[in-house]
Amino acid sequence: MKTLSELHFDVLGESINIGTSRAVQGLSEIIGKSVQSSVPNVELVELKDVSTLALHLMAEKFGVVTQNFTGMLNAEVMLLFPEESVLRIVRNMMGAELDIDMLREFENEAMCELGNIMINGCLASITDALHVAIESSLPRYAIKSREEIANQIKTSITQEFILASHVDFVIEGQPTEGKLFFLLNSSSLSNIATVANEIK
Amino acid sequence: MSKKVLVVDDSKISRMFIRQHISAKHPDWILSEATTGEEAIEMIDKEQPDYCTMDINMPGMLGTEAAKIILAKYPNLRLVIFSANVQETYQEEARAMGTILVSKPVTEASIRQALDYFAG
Repeated sequence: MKTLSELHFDVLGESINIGTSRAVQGLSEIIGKSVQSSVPNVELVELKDVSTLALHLMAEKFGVVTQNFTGMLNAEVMLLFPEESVLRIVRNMMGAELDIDMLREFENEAMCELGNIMINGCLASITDALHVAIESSLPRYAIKSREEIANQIKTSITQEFILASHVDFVIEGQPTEGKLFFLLNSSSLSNIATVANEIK
Repeated sequence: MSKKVLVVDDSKISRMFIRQHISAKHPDWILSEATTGEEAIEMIDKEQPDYCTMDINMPGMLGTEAAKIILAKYPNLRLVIFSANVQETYQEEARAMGTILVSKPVTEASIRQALDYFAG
């Protein structure tokens, strides 16, 4: 099994830290409110070790935006918010007092767009730091239980590792948590190691 | 003077926000919408817009490909790439086309950047 050296993990971890901060900035801009965030905590987990506990999935259900990336970095990226935060975020995005039915109507579109902005903002930090380019799929959104998320990740047939970035943030006095999961395979890790060697 | 703007984006929310912000600044401007690059290429002959905002990641062809086709046909059209995909590669591609990449989200600031570019 291919693993990342400490140096390679540092390069990638730092890029993900910067990318996560950029993603949080995107969240702040799109909802038009200040967002205070913690320093992201980045962990590398092998898929065989994935569980709801290992991924720190505390809420019962999450709104999940997923996007796939291809190129030098073949990755599946998942952005997660606890379900109870989702409608609050959508309401902030829409900037209007909408009833619950209207919020549900906009939920899919709004979360796809939010995910698109946050995930791409984060990925651009990584690809720019590594001087590479990747292509992205369109975002997909669904509400999933924490068990469904862990099982989906664990049974991935194309990926082998997960880089999990956890960040706590506060939107207008209300704490919430966000998670960015990067599912990668060995060849992507090898490519990252090669590029990291060139830029170290 | 009234201008015509074609907004190309597969996201309904983004089209709605772009429309809201532009209309707030220029209520007399006429806005039309396309949801794919292919649709934009079809509409451009009919609508003959002065300005265009173009997303990159959409179903079908990339917005950058559609932009190249449109600008080859209408070199005087002022077009901005308006996208969440802000990788340096796409910024360079936009510059090579003689345009700019404005990064999403759609906000007053990002719309101002697009409008400044339209104004030349």
